[in-house]
Amino acid sequence: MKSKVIEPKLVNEEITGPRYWRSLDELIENPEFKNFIEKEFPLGASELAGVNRRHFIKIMAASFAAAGMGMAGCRRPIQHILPYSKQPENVIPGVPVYYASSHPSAKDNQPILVETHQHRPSKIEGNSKYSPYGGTTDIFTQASILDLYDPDRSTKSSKGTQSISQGMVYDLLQNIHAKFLSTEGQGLAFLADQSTSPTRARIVKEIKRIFPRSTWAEYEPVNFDNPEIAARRLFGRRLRPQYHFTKTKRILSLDADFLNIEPGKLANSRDFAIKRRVKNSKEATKMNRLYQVESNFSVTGAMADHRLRLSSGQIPAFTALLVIELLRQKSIQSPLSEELKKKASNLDTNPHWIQECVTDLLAHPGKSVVTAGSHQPVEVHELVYFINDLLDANGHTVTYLNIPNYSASTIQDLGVNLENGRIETLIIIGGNPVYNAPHDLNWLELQKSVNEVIRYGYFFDETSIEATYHISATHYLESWSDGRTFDGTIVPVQPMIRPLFEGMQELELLARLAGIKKADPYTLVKKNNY
Amino acid sequence: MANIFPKWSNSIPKQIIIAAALITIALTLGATYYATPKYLRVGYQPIQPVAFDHSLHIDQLGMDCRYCHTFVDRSEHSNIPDSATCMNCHNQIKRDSPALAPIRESWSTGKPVPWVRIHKTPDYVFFNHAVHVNRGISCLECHGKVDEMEVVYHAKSHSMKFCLECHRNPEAYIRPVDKVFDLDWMPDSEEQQLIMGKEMVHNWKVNPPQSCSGCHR
Ligand code: HEC
Ligand code: HEC
Ligand code: HEC
Ligand code: HEC
Ligand code: HEC
Repeated sequence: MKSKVIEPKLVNEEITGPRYWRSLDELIENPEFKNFIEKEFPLGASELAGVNRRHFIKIMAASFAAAGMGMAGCRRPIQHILPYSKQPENVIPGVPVYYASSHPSAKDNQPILVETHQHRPSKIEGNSKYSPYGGTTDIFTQASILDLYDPDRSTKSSKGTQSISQGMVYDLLQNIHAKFLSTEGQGLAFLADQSTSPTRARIVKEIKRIFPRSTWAEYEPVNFDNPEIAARRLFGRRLRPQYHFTKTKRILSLDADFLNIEPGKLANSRDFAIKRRVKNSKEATKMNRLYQVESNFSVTGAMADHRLRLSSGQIPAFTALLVIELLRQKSIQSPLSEELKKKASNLDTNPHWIQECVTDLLAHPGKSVVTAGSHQPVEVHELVYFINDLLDANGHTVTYLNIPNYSASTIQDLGVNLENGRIETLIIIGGNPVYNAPHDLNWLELQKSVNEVIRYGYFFDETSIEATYHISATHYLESWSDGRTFDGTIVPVQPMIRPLFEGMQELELLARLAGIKKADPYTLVKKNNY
Repeated sequence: MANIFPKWSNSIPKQIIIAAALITIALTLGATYYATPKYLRVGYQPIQPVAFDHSLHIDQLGMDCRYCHTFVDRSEHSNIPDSATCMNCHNQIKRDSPALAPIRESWSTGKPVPWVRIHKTPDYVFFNHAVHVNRGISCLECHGKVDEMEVVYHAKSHSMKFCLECHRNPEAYIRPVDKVFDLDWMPDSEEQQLIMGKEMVHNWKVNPPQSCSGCHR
């Protein structure tokens, strides 16, 4: 008997095998998705018109093969040696030449030696001939070489969006000079960086002489002026404290990062380190001791033996307590104590710390010193002068350098003049006030309200955008000038290389504005007869 | 069932092994011969913009290398002379020679003559001419008999092995300092060279670096 086998009907799945899917869209057979995979390439990957892809690759492969046939890539590339046409003197190809110069800054021109290869500056190091700094520099000086080759530096002077030639800049300066000569500078204002250059000071004097009614203001976003301002208030003279840490055994620093930030830091850190270097435990008594009261964990704080945390705003009160304690321990009766007590009333700090610190300072008369950070208010610096007097430090561990009298308005004074609409022409030399002027001034609006703004700067920056004219500046390695170190030593600024771009040197700009006939900076500097 | 593979296929593995070995040997030999500085560099003789002839100027005119390569004893780099150096003589001798046209042009326009570089150490190698020349190592050791070349070519391999061979025993190559620029100078004999060389190496405290960081700084 033939048994009947009922073949089960094949279901769809068994014909095609199990159905795999890669996404839920595919599983539910979304029509949009179907359309998408059919096109093979997603939108955007459009096909080459005329040539199809396979054909294109075929041709490319053939041309690569043909290029390889000659083995051009394996050949040695031809290099040239290009000697001078006429070899200049004192240039030995491959041997660097070093030039002495200095890096200008607001208070301290650091003496440097610049390594140059075929007159291209390549590296800056301190000039060891200047013994207080012993051949050291700070990070700003080190990095300043990069500015020279900065692709963002301004390469051309401009009026609005149009570049103007050097000749037009000369005319512009000449016109300003002529225009304001008759009005004695009425309506003319300057805003400049601070500078240590005696030559610049001389030209500024000349500008003030011929334009007596103009305003000359100087501004640094971070300045170190307060100790000097305090000295002028107390003694009627500009004096600059100079610390001698080689002679100092006890140091109290009030929020002063004198090893890393304050001007003179290079000398300070060398001197400080000398008093720390001892050979064995017997010499330990020769070491100095540093008390640091600060708001920020600074480099100096890291060296401190005793460190007290205190916010910057509380330093004035702390200084008051310090004076009170000093007077008490020296048994001096003074009405000052009562007054200071009021100031310090709501400071909550460890009285024991102050007591011990003062005792230690007093135990080393003439060998201890107190210093305060330049950002602290003038009152603190006044008290510090007094404290150093009580400690017999003045003249021993801290001396005072006479600074030539030189007066400049502040940016706030200038702001008032601008607000009154009395300024027609504003000349901004360096800086970048639109970016970093005190916010309360609303500098951008003030600057916009002036008829004609001339900006002399190294970068075409926020201030230049808002100016009528931008005059391109040279780098200091392309300029003649002079300056002073923090202790007043005169140092040169000399060029290593012709300006890479059409730029103007600061001294020349000022001299042209002052109408000086020989505006060549080298001549101007030479006139000082060093 | 029929054999899938015929009999001769038994020897295929052996053949493959032998062929692979032969190819490897050929490649190694080929590379060591054809792909080393000795083969690739020696003899490199590019066409220079001016057909300057060392043999004429040195052998016949008796010029010193330092008349032109002025700073070879003072700098790491041995300079090629400026056009003014050639013009010292050639504003009188062969003034109108067409061969010298590029020199005259450079001299009047201030543009350099594009001499083609022959010797070139890779950037990762530190080399210094003055150190060698001032310690009695002659140009001859590294550049061959330039004084007899009509056109300068790469005479020595300048491979690392080449440098090290001398650095390991400088006494075989060193010579009196005043004979460095005299490429015709020869020691009386090989023993003589070794005796003299040992003495110089000892007296001058000559100590060429053999550590990697000496040349690869
Ligand atoms: C009259 C000038 C002059 C004198 C003298 C001279 N040279 Fe030259 N030398 C040149 C010039 C020019 C070149 C470049 C053109 C060339 O390579 O031929 C050159 C090239 C060379 C080069 C090849 C440089 C490269 O591109 O790698 C070597 C090596 C060299 N000289 C060695 C010597 C030696 C060794 C002496 C002394 C025996 C010497 N020269 C004397 C002018 C001179
Ligand atoms: C000390 C003098 C002197 C100096 C320096 C000198 N030459 Fe000569 N040069 C000569 C003399 C001599 C001749 C041979 C002239 C002759 O064949 O009559 C000559 C011939 C030549 C010739 C062949 C010219 C021709 O038309 O045949 C060339 C090319 C040449 N020198 C290139 C140079 C170059 C390049 C330099 C510089 C690197 C140079 N010379 C420096 C003296 C000098
Ligand atoms: C110890 C080996 C050695 C000696 C000795 C030596 N050279 Fe060289 N020379 C070299 C090497 C390596 C280079 C390639 C340098 C480079 O690429 O920077 C070179 C390059 C040159 C060049 C081309 C320019 C340059 O510096 O790149 C000249 C010219 C030259 N040598 C001349 C001389 C002369 C002249 C003497 C003898 C006074 C001399 N050399 C001695 C190894 C030597
Ligand atoms: C013919 C011998 C010789 C050859 C070839 C030679 N050298 Fe030297 N080299 C010396 C001697 C000798 C000294 C040691 C000089 C001294 O002690 O002052 C030296 C020193 C050096 C130094 C040390 C320099 C310093 O500043 O301390 C370097 C780097 C160097 N050689 C690199 C090379 C390189 C790279 C090569 C190959 C292109 C080379 N040398 C080929 C003999 C040679
Ligand atoms: C006397 C100088 C010298 C010393 C010492 C030296 N080298 Fe070299 N080295 C060279 C030179 C020159 C070359 C370039 C050779 C060339 O151009 O082909 C080189 C090339 C090389 C290369 C590239 C491969 C090649 O051969 O081109 C390597 C890797 C290397 N060296 C490693 C070392 C190591 C590792 C050491 C230490 C054991 C060392 N070198 C010591 C001179 C030296």
